[in-house]
Amino acid sequence: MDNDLLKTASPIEFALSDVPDDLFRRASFDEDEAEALSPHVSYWSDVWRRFFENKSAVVFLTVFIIILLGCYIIPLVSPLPITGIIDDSINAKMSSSHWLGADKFGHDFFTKMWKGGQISFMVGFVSAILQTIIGVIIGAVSAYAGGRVDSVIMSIVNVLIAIPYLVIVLAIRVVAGAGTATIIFALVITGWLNVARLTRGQILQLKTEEYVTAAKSMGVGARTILARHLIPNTLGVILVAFTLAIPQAMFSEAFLSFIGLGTNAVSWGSLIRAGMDVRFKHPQQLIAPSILLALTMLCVQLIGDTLRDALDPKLRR
Amino acid sequence: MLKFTFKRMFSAAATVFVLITLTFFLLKMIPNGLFADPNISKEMRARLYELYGLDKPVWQQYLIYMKNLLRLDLGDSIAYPGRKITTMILDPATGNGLPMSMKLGIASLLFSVPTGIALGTVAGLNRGRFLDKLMIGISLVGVSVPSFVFATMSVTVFGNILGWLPTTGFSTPREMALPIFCLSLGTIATISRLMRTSLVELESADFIKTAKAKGLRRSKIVFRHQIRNALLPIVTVLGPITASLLTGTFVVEAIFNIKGLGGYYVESISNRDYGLVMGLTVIFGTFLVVCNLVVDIVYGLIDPRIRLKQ
Amino acid sequence: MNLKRLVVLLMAALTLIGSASAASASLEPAVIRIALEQDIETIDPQQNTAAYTCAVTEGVTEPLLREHGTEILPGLAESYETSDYQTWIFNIRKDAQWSDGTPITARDIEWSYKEIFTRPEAAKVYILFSDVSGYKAITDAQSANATEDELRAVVEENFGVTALDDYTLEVKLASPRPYVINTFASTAWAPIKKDLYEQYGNAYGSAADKTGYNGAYVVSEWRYNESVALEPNPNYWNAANIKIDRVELLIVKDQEPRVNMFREGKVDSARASSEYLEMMADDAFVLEGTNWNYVLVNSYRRNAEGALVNEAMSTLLANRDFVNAINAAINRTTLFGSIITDPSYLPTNYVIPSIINSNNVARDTVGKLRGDTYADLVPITRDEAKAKEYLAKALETLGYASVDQLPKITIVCASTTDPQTVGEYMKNALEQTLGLKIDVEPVEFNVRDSRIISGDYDLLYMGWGVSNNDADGYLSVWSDDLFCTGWPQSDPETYGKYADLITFIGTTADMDARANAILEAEQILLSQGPIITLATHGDAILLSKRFDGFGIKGTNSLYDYNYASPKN
Repeated sequence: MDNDLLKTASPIEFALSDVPDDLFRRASFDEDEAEALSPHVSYWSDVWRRFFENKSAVVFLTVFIIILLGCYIIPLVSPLPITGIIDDSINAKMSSSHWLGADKFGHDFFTKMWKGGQISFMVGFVSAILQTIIGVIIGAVSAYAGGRVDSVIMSIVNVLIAIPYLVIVLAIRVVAGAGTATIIFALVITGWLNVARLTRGQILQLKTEEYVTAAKSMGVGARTILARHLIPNTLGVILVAFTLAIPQAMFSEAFLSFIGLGTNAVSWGSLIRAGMDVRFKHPQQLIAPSILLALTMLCVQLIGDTLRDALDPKLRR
Repeated sequence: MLKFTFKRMFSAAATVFVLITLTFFLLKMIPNGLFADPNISKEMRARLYELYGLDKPVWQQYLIYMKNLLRLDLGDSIAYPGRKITTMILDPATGNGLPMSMKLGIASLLFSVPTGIALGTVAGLNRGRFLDKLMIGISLVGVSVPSFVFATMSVTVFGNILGWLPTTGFSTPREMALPIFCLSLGTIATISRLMRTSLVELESADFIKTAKAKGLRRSKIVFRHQIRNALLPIVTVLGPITASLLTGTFVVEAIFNIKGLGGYYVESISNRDYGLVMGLTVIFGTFLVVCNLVVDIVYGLIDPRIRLKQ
Repeated sequence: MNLKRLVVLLMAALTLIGSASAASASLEPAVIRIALEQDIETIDPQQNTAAYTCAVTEGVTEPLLREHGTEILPGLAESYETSDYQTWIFNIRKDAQWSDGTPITARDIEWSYKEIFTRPEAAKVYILFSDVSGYKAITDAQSANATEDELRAVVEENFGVTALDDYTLEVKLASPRPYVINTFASTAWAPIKKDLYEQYGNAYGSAADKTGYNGAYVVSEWRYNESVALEPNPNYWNAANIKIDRVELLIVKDQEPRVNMFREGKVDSARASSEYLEMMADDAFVLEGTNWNYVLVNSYRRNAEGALVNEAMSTLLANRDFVNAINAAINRTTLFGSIITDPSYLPTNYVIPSIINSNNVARDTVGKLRGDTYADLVPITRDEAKAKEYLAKALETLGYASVDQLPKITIVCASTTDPQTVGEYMKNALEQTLGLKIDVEPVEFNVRDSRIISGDYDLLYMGWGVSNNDADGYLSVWSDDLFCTGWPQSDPETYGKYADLITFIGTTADMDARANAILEAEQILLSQGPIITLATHGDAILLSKRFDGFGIKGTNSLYDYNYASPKN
């Protein structure tokens, strides 16, 4: 495009024809300038680029993907069983076959530890997704509707936030029984509140923007305005909230499992709890899942941070 | 301002009321399993229900509870016959319960907030340099390692293996060191990150640019403008942080045998000691609401736009 | 010369310092500190008999007799007589008094024992008076919803405790029962102080000043949820022989800090799991348990109205071959040897030998009949072939083509570490060996208990100990169907036979015939009963060696410090 422009905009073309070729220098492009001129770099590809510019984020994203894949692949390929009772290897010490020893049922700890990550990830992602969806919808509706609807919804949110979290967890646990679904449900019930507040704040700001007023005056319905204009424009903030909700949920799952109110399935929290009991004999069974949990947290936090920086050009250096 | 404060206080009181009501009925929904000792006959169990007024319809129990609450009477414990809930939560003879949790929480707050602000400032002013990267690393570890893992590890390492510090109690400074540190790590990380971010954000703010353009000394810009304004967002998170410190001491209290409220939290719910659960809910809920209220008011004082909008 | 003098002087000085410090050491008060794993709920002896509560009541109350180790010593009664083991005469000591100097007479004791039945809050400890004649009439009256006054009249008329005069108390049992002697030493048999009780009602025992003390110690300070401090009772009849100046019971709920406090010398005794016992073997004390751990098998799962709900499951669990298959699929040696953290034992009998042994009279008649084990009924290792054989037989009888058609079985267990481990073990082992489908449902303790008393479970893991220290206690719970196992409904014939045996055991005066009946009942229970017995549960306790006579005893209270003295 730039070349075309040069060509057509050259009125003295033939007057220069007798100038020797070697006097011509090919115009060089300054890459940065080219970019500045380019009109078609979308916001999202810009975010993408900014994200991958951050080397440590890329490293941690890689680590995160490795851990994620490890959790789903290692239990599949490991030859060592993690169900049943393996009499020969009960409480086995670290060895070449059992890299981190075996637990009280004779299950290989290394395999079990990765398997435990599945629950942590599942709880983290599923509850983060659900609470984000619920929070966004309620927050958006509340902000857009305004007035009485808004104040009712917001006072409900304020009350729910103040209810001791463990009371809710226990109540759901007793009604629905212990299980992963219970934990997710409890986390969603307590987690959507923050997302709703955040979304509401954003939409309140956007509501007064001119393009919304324009859409309204052209007779566009409230649902379309919300879905087409308002929510997409708050996506950045929502995405950040989402990345923060994941570690939050994983933390809560680990904490609940640690105090014995978690899932019955193997998870990092329950492994850490069990590791505490054997920390003098098998310290690795406390340290290894702790490190894995902390490392995952670290990755998610860092990815979230970088994403936030990438989404918010104001913070761009 | 007075109208704003009054309005906020009214909604805070309403919140506490709804919270109490909701928790009360939520608890009654949970199967209670009280007096389920197989040695106790069905008839005696019925008499025990009668004794504790649990045979009445739930709404009646609720009205009785609310009536007593107005007189600041939180009722008697079921699990500990003859013991007042108020004494359990706020024991003047021992200073256990709420005062102990407050002591732990405030000590942690006094340690973590200045430390977090200092670390965040150092990092924010040295952006991109070694100190910044070190601080980011430390704070990331702080937010990534769960407090229960950190507490267990530090008890094992500093207490059991090295034997440097006592691992139980909370009366001497030596005893206080480990629990405060374990409890503070997360807060330090949160605050320092926030501080750093807002310092960085302010760097490009117009009034800082103006100050720079006026040729003000860097130290003056930093202390007069940047840090002072960067503290604003910290105020907003102080409310939730204070509440979570005072209420979230659960694991630390258990591991270090500190007699705060944390120990009662799960125990009372699994004992179905309704009075105690309700008492704790009232305390925690009120606390949370008051923290948010104070932050709102303080913020309204600092930033006039907030109260004008209302 | 000078040097020599200097040395002599130095030596003299050192000796002086040494003796001075020795003197100050002997002046230091002797304090026993015990870490308890739960807060003391009440020190009213009629409201609670849990082991950690008894750590206090053992010191501050005095029952008719005392138990020290396995000995029975005089207590509130300086002596007792019985000719037929049915009527017991206790001679109450004339100097018996409360800590404030008020005398205690046999009439006060009678009042106290009778009062208990009008107190609903004392329902938990009724069972400790179940050997006394008239107990049945009283509980029947309670079941008939008698008013308090009616109840009082029934107690007055029927209950077999009478003060013959101020210093003679007669206790009449339902039948000759030589084995109940330990019960007279349980804290529930300590009197309560009438004036304070009338003033405070069920708050009696809720604070230091709301309790009467007639034991070796009084509560000098009670800091809720933190500690209870005991100091010697100057008005105790045996005050001269109390050698400990102060007993402190510290509440430390979590194991980590408890063990740490023991290591740091802050307490002299603390409960711990076996792992610590191995590490600290020098200080460890393991008490062989008197609590059995079972899996209850519910063959009549019912709803709130008491009607059968899950017929397929109930039929399955009523099938003895199926239960035997589960029984054979469990490897008790690995489960309780290497998996469970608390010490556990695999006794050779269902009625725990230590109970028989600690009971001098019963040992002669029952103990000698033992010797054979129930290896086939309570196998100590897994027998996969046999388990599969049983399962095949069960499937055939019930008409299932394969194990996959069986409904999913739920195991209810408490949500603490060990019970949950057992639940998970059962799931893993049964799925692996038999191919069953198992769900584990860990619930809180009281929820588990309410599931038991409503019969709302398929399989349920629990522990149960006897409160009256007799073989009968292990057996009669099944004839009463306290745990709602549905045995009477699913197999009325065997159950009837069993119930008859229990009635006989409870009433006969012939100790030999009784012992034989115990063995027979035991055999029926293990081969036909609604349980899968697993192991007995022990207590692992760290105990410092600073004191003589400070120890652990098996029944009634756990800690035994009344007869302790500092070591020299």
